[in-house]
Amino acid sequence: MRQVTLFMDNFSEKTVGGEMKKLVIVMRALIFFMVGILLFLFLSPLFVPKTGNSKKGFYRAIIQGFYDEPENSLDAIFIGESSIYKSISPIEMWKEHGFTSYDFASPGQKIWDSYYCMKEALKYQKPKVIILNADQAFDAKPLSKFFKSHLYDNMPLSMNKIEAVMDPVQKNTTEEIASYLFPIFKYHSRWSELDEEDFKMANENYHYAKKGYVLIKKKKAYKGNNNYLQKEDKNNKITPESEEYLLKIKELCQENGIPLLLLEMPAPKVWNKTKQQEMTKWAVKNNVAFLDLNKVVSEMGIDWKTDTSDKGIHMNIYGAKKVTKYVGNYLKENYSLPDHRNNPNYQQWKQDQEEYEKACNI
Amino acid sequence: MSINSLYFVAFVAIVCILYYIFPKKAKWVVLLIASYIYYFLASNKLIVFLLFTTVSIYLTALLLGRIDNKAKDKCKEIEEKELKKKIKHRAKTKKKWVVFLAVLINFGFLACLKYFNFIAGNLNGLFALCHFQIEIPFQKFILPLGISYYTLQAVSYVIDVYRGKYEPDKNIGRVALFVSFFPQIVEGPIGRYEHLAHQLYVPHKFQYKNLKFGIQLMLWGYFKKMVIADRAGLFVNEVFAHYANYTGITIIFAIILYTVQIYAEFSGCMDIVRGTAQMMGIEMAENFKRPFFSTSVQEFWRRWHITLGAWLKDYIFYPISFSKFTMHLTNGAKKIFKNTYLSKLIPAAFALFFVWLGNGIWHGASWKYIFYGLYYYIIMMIGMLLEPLSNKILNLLRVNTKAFSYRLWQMFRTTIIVFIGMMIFRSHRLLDAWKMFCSIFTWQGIGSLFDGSLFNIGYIPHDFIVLIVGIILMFVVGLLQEKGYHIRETIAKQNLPFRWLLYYAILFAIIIFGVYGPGYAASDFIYGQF
Repeated sequence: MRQVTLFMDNFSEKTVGGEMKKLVIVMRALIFFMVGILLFLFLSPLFVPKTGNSKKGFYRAIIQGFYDEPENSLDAIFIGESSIYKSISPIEMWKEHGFTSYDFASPGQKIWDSYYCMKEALKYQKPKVIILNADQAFDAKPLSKFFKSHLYDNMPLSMNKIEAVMDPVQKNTTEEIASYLFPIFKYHSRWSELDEEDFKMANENYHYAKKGYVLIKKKKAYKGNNNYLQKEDKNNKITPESEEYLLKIKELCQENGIPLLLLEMPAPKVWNKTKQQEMTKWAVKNNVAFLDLNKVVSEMGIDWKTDTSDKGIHMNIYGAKKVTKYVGNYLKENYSLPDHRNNPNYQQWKQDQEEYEKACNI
Repeated sequence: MSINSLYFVAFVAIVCILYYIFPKKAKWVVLLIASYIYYFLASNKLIVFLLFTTVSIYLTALLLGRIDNKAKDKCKEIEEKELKKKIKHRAKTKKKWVVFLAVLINFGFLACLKYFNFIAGNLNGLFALCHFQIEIPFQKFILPLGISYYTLQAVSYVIDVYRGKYEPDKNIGRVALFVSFFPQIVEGPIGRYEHLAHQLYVPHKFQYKNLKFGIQLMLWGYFKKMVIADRAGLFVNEVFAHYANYTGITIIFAIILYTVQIYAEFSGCMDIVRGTAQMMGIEMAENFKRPFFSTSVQEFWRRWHITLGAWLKDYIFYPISFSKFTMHLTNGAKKIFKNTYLSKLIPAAFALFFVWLGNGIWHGASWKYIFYGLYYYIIMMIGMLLEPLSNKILNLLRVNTKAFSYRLWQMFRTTIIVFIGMMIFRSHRLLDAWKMFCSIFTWQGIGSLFDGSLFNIGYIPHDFIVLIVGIILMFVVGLLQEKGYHIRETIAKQNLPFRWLLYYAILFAIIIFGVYGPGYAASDFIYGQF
């Protein structure tokens, strides 16, 4: 009993029995630890940059907005990097066909990040189709810290996030892992610049009316020729690492009974014949649908003088509308997606449409 | 694995868990293995130096014991007093040589690795002055981690065995752990065998209080290092690097802040070290006792880097004070100055010279550090020389030396002396220290500090507020401790919500206001360089 008293510190021996005291101590330590973790989780988002340019963390809204969508309310989920959120406008598809979708994407995302995003997305949604950006399969370098931050700083703590940041493929150091799990470690020096928006967007899910789409009006013409699909580059290979995650993604979709569609956006600066052939080969071998929009550039009516924001890497709003129209039709035809426009449960989408149209203002 | 990294925190947590999980007999082995892993991760193959020191002092101590035992056995067999004396004398001489060699070899490594280029540079200068065509080439030595600390610790062990303070330890594991114990290896405290070795070796039962108090001490240490010291460092680094751009108040401000920085950092590191050890029930020596409440320079050095001062006292001051030469000097002084104050002062002054020279040299291979040591020596000597005179004046003026105001004046005076010492310590070269000192007097008013220098170097008003609040907090804690309050015990008596609030507040203060991560450049511990 004496030992226990020592162990117990300031607990009264009269009130509780020895074993109980030990239990109380352990419980108290656990509660202290848990409260600490909760405080970390509560304070971390406060310090993550919310708005401004991409350097400051512009993409928080995309990630946070996804979590604000009601559970099992999305018919299609687009996953991938910038070409997704700059080319696909879910509200346009809603307007045209009435099905719901979201661009759950982040800049420079790699195929393994997409896998974890998909796992995370499927925790909340049961879409009828998942669309994955195809070009990511050709890039096997880990994301830079800068790009990783956009995704993982803004993703709430979950087993998927822990698994993602600890995956050796990411080549994260222990300190980096800690900084993604608890972004406060990385952004604590922002304490002196916290403003109203930081507090507002910190711990409630931000509603993103554009459904992940990033609207760009800037025009910067692609002046190259249109025969980029004839170009070859033998360095473009689906690396074993990428293939591993492509297969994991395929399996994940199969397990959930959701069809997977590989989608490549029109991008003369990025896409070429070799990539097209490699991707087609893989898709056929693995029985996965692959839609390459570079093949239908003229059918979509893309004008490289007006429809790209950065000389043929990404679409602007003008290009995005054309791409979205084509993809919307394709999805409607091939995946029989429902029309919710007259469903009163989807009232929010109507409001979001109004907000989106105001933002487009063209 | 810097002591202020997440790796260190994780390492400590793992070692602590293993320490309490393992059976009693293996607990010290956990500490030894952890210490060697820690050292190997930091120093890689330089671990051989640590191994050499450990083995050499272990064997030396055994040899000293054997010589002693042999002499004792022989003396038992012999009855003749003269012969006994002779045997004892011979054993003593033998022991002297053995310990001399061990100390020489161990200090030889330290001297060679740390001071070779300094000595070579000075000799080259001397050769050039004498027109000798000799030049000693400089060497690129990498200093093994904590060599300045563990060498002193190791040497103290053999000297104590030589002096017969304790028996040589037959367990090499215990000696190895005493020399290498991981929390203390980088910056001390310089432990003593009789206080530390046994503590490290015996198993400690898990005590919630130890764990709690240990973590609290660590947190306070991290607060001092990361919130106060590193934030002060942002300003200090800029001003000391470009002191020519600054004058008057800015220089004074930088010197004050550097003193704050080095205190918060070194004492903070000691809190982390002592806290780590306390988590496993090990109590390490204190290295700081609120030094800025000292009323004299002597007292300051009894409160600042206490274990170094104690080491210098035991292994330099006493041997020199009781050496034959000093005895002769004492006798000579008595003959010349009769039984006056001066006759007592001279032998003390002689021994103290080596103490302060040793203090300076230990801090680094540079004239700046030697001057730093001698600066305190000169100040102390002046103080001691003028003591009779100043006592007379004080009596004459009927100054109440026990009054608080007088003590405050003494503290202020001591602090000013310390500030100047710190300026020498931090400046790049001795000449820079002098120039900085001179530029203090080019006064341009207090406004010049706020005009540009403070905020132009990246400081924002918020930083300044955090720094000031941190310093005030550190001062209040120091004041309470000085008044005899046991802070952690007092906190333990408070109700749970208050305690938890306090713990979370300090934890999040470190996380939010700490100078670390991408927003700031990483900063090492100043005293880890020695």
